Amino acid sequence: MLAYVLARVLQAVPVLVLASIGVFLMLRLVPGDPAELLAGQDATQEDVDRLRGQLGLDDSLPEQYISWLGDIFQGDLGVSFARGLPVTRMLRTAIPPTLELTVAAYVVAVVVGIPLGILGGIRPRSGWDWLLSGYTLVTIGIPGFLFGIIMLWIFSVRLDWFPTFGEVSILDDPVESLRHLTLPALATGVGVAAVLARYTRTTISEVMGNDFVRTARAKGLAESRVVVRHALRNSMIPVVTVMALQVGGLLGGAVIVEQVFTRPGLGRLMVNAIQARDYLVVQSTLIILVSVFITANLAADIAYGFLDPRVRGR
Amino acid sequence: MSAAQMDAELQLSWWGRKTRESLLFATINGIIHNPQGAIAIVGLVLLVVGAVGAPLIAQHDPIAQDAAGRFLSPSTEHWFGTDELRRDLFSRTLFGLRASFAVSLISVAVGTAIGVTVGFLAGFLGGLAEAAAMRIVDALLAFPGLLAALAILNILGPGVRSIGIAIAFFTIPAFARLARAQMLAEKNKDYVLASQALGASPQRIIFRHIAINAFPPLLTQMALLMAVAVLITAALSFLGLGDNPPAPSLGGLLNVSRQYLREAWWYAVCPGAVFALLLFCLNLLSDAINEASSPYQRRR
Repeated sequence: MLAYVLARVLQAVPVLVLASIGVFLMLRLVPGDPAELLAGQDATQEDVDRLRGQLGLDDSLPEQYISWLGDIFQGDLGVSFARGLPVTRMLRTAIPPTLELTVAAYVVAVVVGIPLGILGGIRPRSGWDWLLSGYTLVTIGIPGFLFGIIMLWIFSVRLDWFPTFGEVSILDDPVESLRHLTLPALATGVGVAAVLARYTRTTISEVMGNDFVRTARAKGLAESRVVVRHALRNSMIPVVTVMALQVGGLLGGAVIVEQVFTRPGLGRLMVNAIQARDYLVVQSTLIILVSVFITANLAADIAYGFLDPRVRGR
Repeated sequence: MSAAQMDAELQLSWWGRKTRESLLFATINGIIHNPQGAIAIVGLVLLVVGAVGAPLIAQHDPIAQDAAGRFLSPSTEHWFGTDELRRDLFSRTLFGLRASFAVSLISVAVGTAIGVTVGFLAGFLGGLAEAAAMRIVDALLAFPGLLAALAILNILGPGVRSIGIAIAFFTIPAFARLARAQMLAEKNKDYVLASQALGASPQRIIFRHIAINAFPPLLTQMALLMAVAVLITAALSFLGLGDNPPAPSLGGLLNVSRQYLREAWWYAVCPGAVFALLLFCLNLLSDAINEASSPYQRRR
């Protein structure tokens, strides 16, 4: 098992390095002098020169990359020219709301998607299965942000059940925080829920056709026990992998849904930064999101190994 | 072959004969005769007619602020109502749809052309070229679509042109991988050997023989990526990263509509419905092509 985990981690390292080189080069690909771009339009020549020294722009590209990476590991992401704040401080305020939203959306996706997939999968062509098909069709046509706008109209504007904008930390006021979180979490989560549901349905309907399910039934087990103890355990393995792979989709969705509900967070931070051409902030946000994405994929692989002994042998 | 069978063969129409001879025609036939495919095609034809014919169909200028009032609800005069600046929302939606089609079609077409060429060549040549191309493809696929698009927007600056480039950019690896797989599956088949024996040039074999047979699965992917492209274009305009006002876009309309939900529900709902219909039809079409082109995927 340890060998398997190590092998997987070692495989993820080159991907992470390649991705970080990509994000690093991004800034160098912007037409123009990076120092002038980073200093902003109002900067004086001294500012630009000072920044050029700080960034080591006169060094070779590999040297610049290494020192950039070193700075990141020391928690130094530079200073945003648009806001004049250290990027790390901006990220520290932007990450918690996005984290809350992503976790809540994940809960929605799992709580809605997995049971629906199970119910549809154990009885193909039943009412639950039709509900699942209908649900999938709807989520194909209505992406998260459109769904969010519709919910905002119905539940916040018409019925006034939920606030229309903003965010409250879950640590300060749990009730108010959840009121602000419910609609965004639903909007972000429903699409992923459909993916999970379809996937669960496929795997469980395959597992239900296996001999060991027939054996379990033949020895007189109750149907619920057949499903929970035998079928479910075996069909959850691929589902766990898909769950981890959906983290990227959830993060992307959260970035857009934040805009619908005017929630602060990484999405707003990044969008404002792109509009203000605040390259350093975008670069830092991207490196964080990409790392999270790659780590989630790695976690999926490792979880797969834990759950299915056959995978480890390969 | 009996005389009766030969008669039946001769009686086939041009279309009938084509569907039996060519995988491509058989696929098109399969799409039309699948209810999903038929719905998708009817819906897409409607939307394309609306987008292409927007200047003729729209009764009002999409930019002129000439309606009788702000936030007029839908009526026979203004089918989708009017917006905060007294502009006709039906016209704005049609022109937004038009822009959305233009960006998505051009960028997916460019991305497909490059991706398929790279993939075919990689698969046909093999060796070091293949290995190098596929590692780059793997690295590109490691980025989720939206993040890659945001990275490219950061380099090029916001705007429709940047969105198009971003979409073309993440279309390339998806197609390169698929085209390579198709090439590997096809290149050792007997018909390729036969054309080689007849002395056909590699170009002729790739583009006249293999490409035709590899086409239907690529078509599935194209329809799917069109849906992704439409979605990403709308999402980025929604974030305010793609527009050049006052020109309308589907995402931009939805973004502004958010502020006026209290005054004008139709502002969000009407363009939203058109957008949903577009996504829906493209996804259905992709499914229908997939079912028609691969015998294993047919519904049981």
